[in-house]
This record gives sequence, structure tokens and C-alpha cells, in this order.
Amino acid sequence: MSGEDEPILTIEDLEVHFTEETAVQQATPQAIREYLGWVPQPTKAVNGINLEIEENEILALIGESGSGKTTLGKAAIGLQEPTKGSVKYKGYDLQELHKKNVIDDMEWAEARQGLQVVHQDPGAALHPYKTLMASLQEPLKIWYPELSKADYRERILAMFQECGLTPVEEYEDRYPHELSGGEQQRVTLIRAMLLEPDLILMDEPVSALDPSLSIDLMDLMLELQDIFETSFLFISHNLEHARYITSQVGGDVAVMYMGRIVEYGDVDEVLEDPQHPYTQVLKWATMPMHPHEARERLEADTPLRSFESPNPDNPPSGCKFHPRCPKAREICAEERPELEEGDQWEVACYRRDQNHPYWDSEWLDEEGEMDIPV
Amino acid sequence: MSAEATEVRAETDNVLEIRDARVTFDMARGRARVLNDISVDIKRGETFGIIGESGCGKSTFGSVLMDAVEDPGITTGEVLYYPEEGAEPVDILDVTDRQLRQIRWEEIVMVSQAAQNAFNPTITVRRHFTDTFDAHNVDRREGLERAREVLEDLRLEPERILSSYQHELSGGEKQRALLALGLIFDPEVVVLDEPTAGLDLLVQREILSLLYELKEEYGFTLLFISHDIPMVAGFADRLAVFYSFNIIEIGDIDDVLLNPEHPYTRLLTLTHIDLDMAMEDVNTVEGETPDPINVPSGCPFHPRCPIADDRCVVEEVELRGEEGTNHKVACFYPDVATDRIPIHPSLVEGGEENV
Ligand SMILES: Nc1ncnc2c1ncn2[C@@H]1O[C@H](COP(=O)(O)OP(=O)(O)OP(=O)(O)O)[C@@H](O)[C@H]1O
Ligand code: SF4
Ligand code: SF4
Ligand SMILES: [Mg+2]
Repeated sequence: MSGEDEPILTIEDLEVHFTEETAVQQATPQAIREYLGWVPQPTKAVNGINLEIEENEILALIGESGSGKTTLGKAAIGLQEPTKGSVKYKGYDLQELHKKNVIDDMEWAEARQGLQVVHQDPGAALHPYKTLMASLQEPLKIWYPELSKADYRERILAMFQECGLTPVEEYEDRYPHELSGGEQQRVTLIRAMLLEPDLILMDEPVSALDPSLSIDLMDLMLELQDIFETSFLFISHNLEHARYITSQVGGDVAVMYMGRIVEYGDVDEVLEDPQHPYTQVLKWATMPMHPHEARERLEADTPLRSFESPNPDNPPSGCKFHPRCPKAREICAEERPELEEGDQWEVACYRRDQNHPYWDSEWLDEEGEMDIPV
Repeated sequence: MSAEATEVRAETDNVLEIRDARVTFDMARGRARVLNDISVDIKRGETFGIIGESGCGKSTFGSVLMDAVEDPGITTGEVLYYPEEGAEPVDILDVTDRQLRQIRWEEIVMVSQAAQNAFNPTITVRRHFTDTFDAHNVDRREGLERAREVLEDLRLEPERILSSYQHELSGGEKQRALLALGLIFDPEVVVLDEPTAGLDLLVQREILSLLYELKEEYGFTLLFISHDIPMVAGFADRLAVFYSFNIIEIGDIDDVLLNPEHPYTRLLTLTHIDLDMAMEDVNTVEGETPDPINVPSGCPFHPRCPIADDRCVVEEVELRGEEGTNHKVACFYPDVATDRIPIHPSLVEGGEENV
């Protein structure tokens, strides 16, 4: 069941739990802890995730900080061990591969090389006292020991050319602080691309860049994908960026809320007419540029019962969004809606089904229903 | 001062008049001019938006208003501050250190980009407040009373926030606590430099709504700096577009956004990604951002401008506008720009493309 025609990544029923304990609790022997009733309650950072990423695909993952998008991303490239469920690379389970090192003709090292990451903070990925050429050669030395220094340089300069860091000879000797934010981010993308990975996890890669530079970087990703057929898992809290990067290649978007995917579908369709109230609120929160529309948006009432996101250590009952949801009814606090195909695409909300008892349930509070003007 | 000049002033009631503000840094490569002789008036009570690409001088401009440019930067020019209507101005760049300490915070505050790390991690929020009261000779009890009110206005629970350390607060709480600290002395002018940078979408949105309300209630003059047009579009009465360390277009928000006349402003609108529109309309402003050590001759935008000609390369260009309007633009050919360079479709009435 493994081989070349398998998706790059197959994520099945993935769960990742973290257990937060104080130093005192950790230092206390198990027997005493139990006696004192200190049973640590695991926080489910991600829960019930099923995803597939094919070759040459872009998937955008949207959510607030703490929604579990980075944890999911890390698990997807083997940097975070799943508590339950599995992540398969070309059909091979990453955890099993890690333990055995080799399964059939697949090696752990091959998977590590095939799954790369670009972080939000480009500064952290580059050595401050090394020239770009020196920094970028390091991973090549590890993964391609058979090549010569001249080969490394040739590859790196070719990528500089491809990514618009020209004249290339001027850039190779520069230090990270001699680059603008946009250029630094391009260099970290080059660093990941040099290893010819199948998939790159991009964790908020453009959120620190200005609009023009953000578009430049996303355009570069699209160009590189065209040449190298790389897949991208693009994490962002910004709907505009998610739409831009995925829309042009017909990609999908997954919206996460408190560890679960609550809406999943074609990016243009989902963002044009979101079905889940949470996605609708995110769209509402995305400000328009027209000054009159923007002012209207600022003056309108907020379509949220509360801005505060709930404490993940003590998650709400039923639908996790119900304490904030502008459409919540009593039934929403009782049982959790599964992510299921609705009329259009997958949504984890009772409203997708016209015949659901939701429609006969009482509003959650006297506030009733709130309008989401999008 | 002539009677006539006084009268004009009374009519306009400027809170700040900035004249030829320039900031230079001497660096190994040469002298960097990171603010290039900016002159602009800020009206009392208005919201003044400032946009422009990264590195164009927006934050530097904000710092100049409090004479807070970091060493070894050198600031020249005048920043005239009018504490109240008709009062004698003080030049902030030419006051004693004592006066400056009083003006910063009590009169003019800046809440800046790096806000997420602005609190000292080893002391509580309460200590930040009381230290500020001590430094400004304000009675702690009275001060804390006021602090509780402001925190509440920012929809925070005063006691919990005051007794917290920074790591115990969420990003949004930290940002709001910092705003509260800025508003504690009811300043006349508030400068916000990317106040929502690094925050989640809904938290950003909450802070925008709060600011919009607080602005009405507290009545301060607001300078709002961002590289994201939608952030300021709903707020600002006037908008200034920065390019290459200077203002290249300024006017009422509707004029500048719905009728931009500078090629850069028009191209900048195209960088907006609209959730309801085709992605083909999105564009970047191509070319390099100017190097402060080596600013292009003539119009500094000429290397990137699609309609530049020989004149643009040699002749200096200044902000100009038609008689009787607030709308000013630093370009020789605003009509050609309006004719030939499209703006974002969402800004065009009826949503039609303006080509
Ligand atoms: N301490 C300094 N020494 C030398 N140059 C500086 C210093 N501080 C700022 N600059 C330069 O001044 C110019 C303007 O910087 P500024 O921070 O004002 O830009 P900005 O418009 O606020 O950009 P951003 O949108 O990225 O915040 C830049 O070229 C920057 O590199
Ligand atoms: S299930 Fe109920 S609470 Fe959850 S999103 Fe749908 S309407 Fe809102
Ligand atoms: S002055 Fe010339 S180069 Fe400058 S913006 Fe106008 S047309 Fe372009
Ligand atoms: Mg800045």
C-alpha cells in the first residue's frame, strides 16, 4: 500500500495532546500525585484531523493562534509525534519509519529531506555571522555529501537568479542583516527549496511583510511550484493571503478552530460564501479597502458573543464555537457537530442540514441570532 | 505674527505643524537621509492615516513628533506643538529635556510596533503604571483610580490586568494594556504605529473597533501608521502616502483613496487582495525600494514609475494641489497617471475597472 502513486501526505484521525504540568507537579512522585488527585488533564492541541496533500498541491490552513495549526503543521512534516492517528509520507507511516529507519526502499532520511519548513521569523533560520553562501551550503553538505563546493555554489546562485536576488555575485557574500525583510524571507525559502523537497510547510511566511512584498513572495512560491512541482502547506491567520496563494492553483482551504477543522473546501468557493459561522466571522473581520465600506464595518455591531477565545485547557461543551457563535442555539452546547459534507463542501455545523433538530432548538440566550454582514 | 496669520490659524486649529523635518544617519556607506524635509500640519482632533511600503520612513516620522529618533540619528527642522487652540506653540525639537519628558506621555504618546515586548517581564502591569505616575509627579492612588477607568474602557478587567506580568497576558490584552498606559494622562496626540501587528485577525479587529470608539470618547488627535490600507481606510479623515522618506500624496481620505493622482498611490491600491474579487487584479509595485543613502534624482519614484519621462529624472518634484483643495500630490503628471494607471476595482464606483 505504499509507493510513488500515494499522496505526499496522508493524515488520518490525527490527535496531538499536550500535558501541561507545573514544576512541583512534575517533581512529585506518581503515587503521591494520584493520592492528591493531581491527574493532569491533557490539552488536545489537534483532534480528529483527516487530510491529504497530493504532489504539486497547495493547501491553506487558517486559524487563530492556539487553534492548533502549527501543531498540525509540525506533525505533518514529522516534527511532532502524534498521540493518536497517523501521518503517512508517500504511504509510509512517519513514526514507524522513524523507529525502523528503513521500510522497503524508503528511508527516514528521505522523508526528512522531502518535508521542509519555512518559519515566520526569517532571522531565526539564518546564521547572523555567516554569509548567505556559507549558511546555504550547510544543508547541502549534509544531504548531498557527494557533490563538490563548486556544485553547491552553482545550485545556490541558480536559485538566487530564480528568486530575483540579483546580481547574484553581490548577494552571495551578504550577511542576513544586510537584507530587507522580504529578501530574508526569500532566502529562507531558497534554503528549503535547495533540498528539492516534495512539500514545504510555510508557517505564517508573509505575516511580517508589507502587502507588496507578501505578494512578491507568494508569486515566487507559485513560480517555484511551477518549476519543481513542490507542494505547500501554507499556514496563516490572514484570509487574503490564503486566498491569493491557493486560488491561482485551484487549491483548498481548511479552517481550524480549537484543534479541529471546521470548514474545508475549494478556497474561492469557501471564501466567497463561507458556510461555517466562524469562517463567516473571519471574513467579516477582514477589512475592505473602500473607505465608506470600511467605516460602515467599524460602526456595525460585532457579530460575536465574545471576542475572547476560550481556554483550551477547559474547552466548551458541544460545538467548541458555541460561546462565541452568533448563530448558537441550545443544542449547540450539548453535542459536537462532525465535519461532514453539506450541500456544498465539508462543514462542522448543524446549519448545513436543513432538517437538523438545530432549527427547532431555542436560541442560546436572549440575544437570539446575530447578523453577520459579509 | 500678523493678525491675518493668527486668524488663519484659529480657523484651522492645528495641533502640530511640522516644518522641514529631516532625519539623517551617518553610516559606513555614507549619509542616510531617512526623513527628507517633511512639512505637514495636523489638525486638532482629526485622525491622520499614514501608509507606505516597508522602510519608507513612517516610524521615523512618528518618532520625530516626540523627538525620539534613536542615536546616532540627527533630527532637524521644527515640530510646533499647540497644547490648545490659540496657545503659543512649543518647538518639540527645541525644548529642555525636562519639558520633553513632560510632553512625551502627558501631551503626545506613541504606541509602537514592538508593543508585544514593551513591558518589562520582571514587574507587574501595576508597577508600570505606578512608575509612570512617579515619573510624572502624579499621586499613585489617584493615578490608579484613573488607570482602572481606562482599562475598563478598553474592556479589560482592571484588577486582573494590573496584577499580571506580561507573560500572563494574551497578545490582545498586552496591546490594550499598553494603550491604556498611553492614554493614562489624557494626551492631546496619540501616535499608533502598526498597533495590530502580529495579532490574530479577530484580535486586530477588536482593537480597531475599540480605538474607533475610544477616539470619539477621549477626543485625542490620532496618527495611525500602517502599511495596510484597509487598516486605516475606515478611520482616517485624512491620509498621507509616504514614499522614499517623504509624503507624495495627501488629502481627505476619499480624495486620496477614491481619486488617487500619484502613480505610486494608484499602484499601491492594486496590492490589496479582495476576498470577493478575481486574483488577476492583484499586483505588486515592481522594482526596488529606494536606498536612503542613494535616493534617485528628480522624482524619487522615477525608476519604478510606468509613466516617467526625462523631466522626472532631473527635476525635483514637490507636493502641489489645486487652489482651494486639501488634495496635494508630488507628481508632474497627475492627469496622465489618472488616465493611464488603473486603481483597485473595489475603489471604483460600480466596481468597474478604471483603465
Ligand atoms: N537606527 C537606524 N540607523 C540607520 N538607519 C535606520 C535606523 N532606523 C531606521 N533606519 C532606516 O530608515 C528608513 C526608514 O525606516 P522606518 O522604520 O521609518 O520605516 P517604516 O516606514 O516604519 O517601515 P516599516 O513599515 O517596515 O515599519 C529605513 O531605510 C531604515 O532602514
Ligand atoms: S453548531 Fe451551533 S454553535 Fe456551532 S457553529 Fe454551528 S450554529 Fe454555531
Ligand atoms: S513625477 Fe514623473 S516619475 Fe514621479 S510619479 Fe510623476 S510621472 Fe512618475
Ligand atoms: Mg515602521
